[in-house]
Amino acid sequence: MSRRILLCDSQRPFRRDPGAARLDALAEQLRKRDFEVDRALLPAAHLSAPPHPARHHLFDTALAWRLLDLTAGAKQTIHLLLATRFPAYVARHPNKVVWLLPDEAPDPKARTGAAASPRPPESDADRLRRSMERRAFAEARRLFVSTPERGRRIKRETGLDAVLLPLPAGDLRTAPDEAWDEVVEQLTSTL
Amino acid sequence: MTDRPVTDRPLRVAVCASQVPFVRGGAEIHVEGLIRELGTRGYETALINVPSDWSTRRQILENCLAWRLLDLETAAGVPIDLVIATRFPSYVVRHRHKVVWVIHQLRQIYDMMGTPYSDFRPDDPKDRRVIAAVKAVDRRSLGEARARFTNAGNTARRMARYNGLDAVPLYHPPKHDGRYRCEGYGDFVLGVGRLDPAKRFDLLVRGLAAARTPLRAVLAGVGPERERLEALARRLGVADRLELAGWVDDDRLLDLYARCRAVYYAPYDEDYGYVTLEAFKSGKPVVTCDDSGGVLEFVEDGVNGCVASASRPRTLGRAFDLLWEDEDRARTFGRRGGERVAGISWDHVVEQLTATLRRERSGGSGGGGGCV
Repeated sequence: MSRRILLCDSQRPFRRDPGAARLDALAEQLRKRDFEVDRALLPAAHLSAPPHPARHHLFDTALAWRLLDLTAGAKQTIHLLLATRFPAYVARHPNKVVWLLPDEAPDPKARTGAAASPRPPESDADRLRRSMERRAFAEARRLFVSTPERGRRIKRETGLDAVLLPLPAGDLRTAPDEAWDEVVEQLTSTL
Repeated sequence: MTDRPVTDRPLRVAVCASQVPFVRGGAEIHVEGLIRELGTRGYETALINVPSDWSTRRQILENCLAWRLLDLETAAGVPIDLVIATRFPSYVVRHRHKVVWVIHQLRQIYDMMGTPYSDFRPDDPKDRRVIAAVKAVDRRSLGEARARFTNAGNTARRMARYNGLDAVPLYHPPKHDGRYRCEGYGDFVLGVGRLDPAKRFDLLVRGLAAARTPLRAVLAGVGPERERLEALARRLGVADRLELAGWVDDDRLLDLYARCRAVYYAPYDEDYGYVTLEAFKSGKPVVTCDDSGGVLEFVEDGVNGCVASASRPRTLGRAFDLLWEDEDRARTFGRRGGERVAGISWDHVVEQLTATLRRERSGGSGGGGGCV
């Protein structure tokens, strides 16, 4: 019986999104290794440029993820939930694996319109996000990051250790299958 | 071609659908077709496809809330001009210019309640609360739409009856429009669709057993009913005349339509059903049942198909015999069926769905175009 994997990611409607191509490549590699793969995407309203989005949209989408039941589709078990970018990893699943990939994280300076400056004071929104991430990452059976810098940030902000798992080098669309072996093995290790 | 309002950028349309992970069927094809056809007419489109499946009653309402929380007013700082929402609960989404083209509501709390297709119990207090909540959600979220359309008359009648809301049926072409063909009337009746109870392929098997003639049946589809259908065919002695083809690719499906004698399509109270249109566009008669709902908007007994009784499989057997013994009749029925659906087009669909937006852009109130 093939194992079902649901890839969860943030959607950028009406925009070219390099993240979508990454997810396509990962999905293809999983299918080549006989996993059934589907995607769950929610639009990332928090990435809209100012002056539109109020900060609450940041958490509305996160709450929407949290509310979804992603354990099965048409009564068929989803064996693994693989989440990549904020706030998809807030989703719940008994076998959640998080692989933090490069993201256009919400920039407090952009939203407030303030000029660039040294690290601004932490806002309530920042604290809420950190708390949310601490919980979401702690729930994950495994936590991976694609860059050392991200791993350091996670450790600093949540106290959690993440395993470094870089993306294959070069163009993901043409990377040889062997370049993905380590990635797929790690991401599916909880199955 | 639809006239689009003049702006300095393409109009952006978000099409909202409810995804059941790892499942693909008519609703997915419907939405893909809409996105494709909007795109060819110059609209920028995005599919918003939130997983909407649930294992508890509470999760139904949580899923509605998830849709309500989504912000689709802008993307990357540029307005989304129109949201077209389709299947429950995607139409719960908020947008200043929302149009609904309803494929399904949660039928288990409406017309399917009290049938084998619903496990909701109105005598259960918890179920009663959920039913009331979903009805309230439907009334509000459908009521706030600028225009309301449904995929079929059956769906519109249900919305009027249960939610007190008017809607206009808006029919659209099936997936392979332009590619259907007829290559004769072979020795088999074709069934197409997901093998689940509501599609009632067990009646096809029973009809086959009741027929006097050696007509075969080919079933193209996958689903949880497969083993039960195989067992039923063995028990009724027709296993050698039933082929369970499983999932077939598009070319094979078109070939099956082209060569079959007739198409069986008798789901329980189906709203629309591509299969009817696909059969007619292939010049083939349709055998259906008197409780198949929207199928009967197109199929007329003795004109372009046969309408049997679901409670009497012998009547299905007689329909199969009739079409087996009289190929000319099958051909005539099929030709009339093709004439019946010849006028269904994407031009009309897109024109209707975007009418309120175009009116608003040209200085009108934005109302009308479907029921508001």
